[in-house]
Amino acid sequence: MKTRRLTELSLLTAAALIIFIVELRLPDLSSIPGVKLGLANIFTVYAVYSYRAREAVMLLVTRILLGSIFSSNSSAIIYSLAGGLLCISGMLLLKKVIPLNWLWLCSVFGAIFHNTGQIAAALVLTRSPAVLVHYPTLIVTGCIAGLFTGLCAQYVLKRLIPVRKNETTKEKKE
Amino acid sequence: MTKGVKICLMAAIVIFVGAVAAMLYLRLPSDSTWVAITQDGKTLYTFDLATFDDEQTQQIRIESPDGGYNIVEIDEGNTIRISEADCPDKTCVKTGELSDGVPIVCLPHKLVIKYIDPPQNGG
Repeated sequence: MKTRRLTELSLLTAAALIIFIVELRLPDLSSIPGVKLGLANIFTVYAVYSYRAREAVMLLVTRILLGSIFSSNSSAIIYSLAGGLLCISGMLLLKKVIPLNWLWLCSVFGAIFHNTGQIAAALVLTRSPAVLVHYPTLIVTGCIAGLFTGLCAQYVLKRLIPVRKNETTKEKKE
Repeated sequence: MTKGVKICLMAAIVIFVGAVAAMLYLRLPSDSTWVAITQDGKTLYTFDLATFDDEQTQQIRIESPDGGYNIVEIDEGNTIRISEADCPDKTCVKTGELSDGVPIVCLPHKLVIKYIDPPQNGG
């Protein structure tokens, strides 16, 4: 991997971690665990649309592992990983169908996949179907949060694409 | 707008509307007074809240196999809630009293309190 790409990904991971930690300090929106904005997902969606699949997965896994160490919440790591990995696999597949202009839609599906993964993990861990009652609420809040983070990533990407194109043409000339 | 996007958009709308409907349905208050407390899939207690004394509060301490505990409290007016827990997130305590189809869940201790259908033949 080129040093430049590695640096870009590291910076993105660091920024995602900062947003993740800041969001933890915000008061809980609801008594239901898992209802949150998921601002760090802006970076996941952004990476899905501007890097290779391998690189996007790397960014996500690093962010989840470091995030759970920094927040000293090790019990959440299984939920985060289950949700995150399902979310990113789903988005990587949907990216082939959904163009950049509809990125927010991909993000909404990402949120649905994320909550599905979390509920599945909770089902396996607690062996109690009772956790399923939170599923509809998580989907509804997840769709709204996914729409928001998706739009954020979409606006950022649209403004960055011309910049990135300029840079790559400059590099080629040099 | 390509065909793929159209299908995805429709699917998203259907999932969203379905989830809203399911959410509203679950929020309907329960007409049962029977409650079950389960831990790790095993039922620890089932009882009828209506049989408790209206004037008194009663506490049940539930030890978790991994060392933690939850204190379940049945309050005046026969409502049930988790009043104390040593889990890190305290989600179960914040949930408050059991009022509708949504159970009180303590994920770290795998504890679930929910309304159940009254058992047949007086239980």
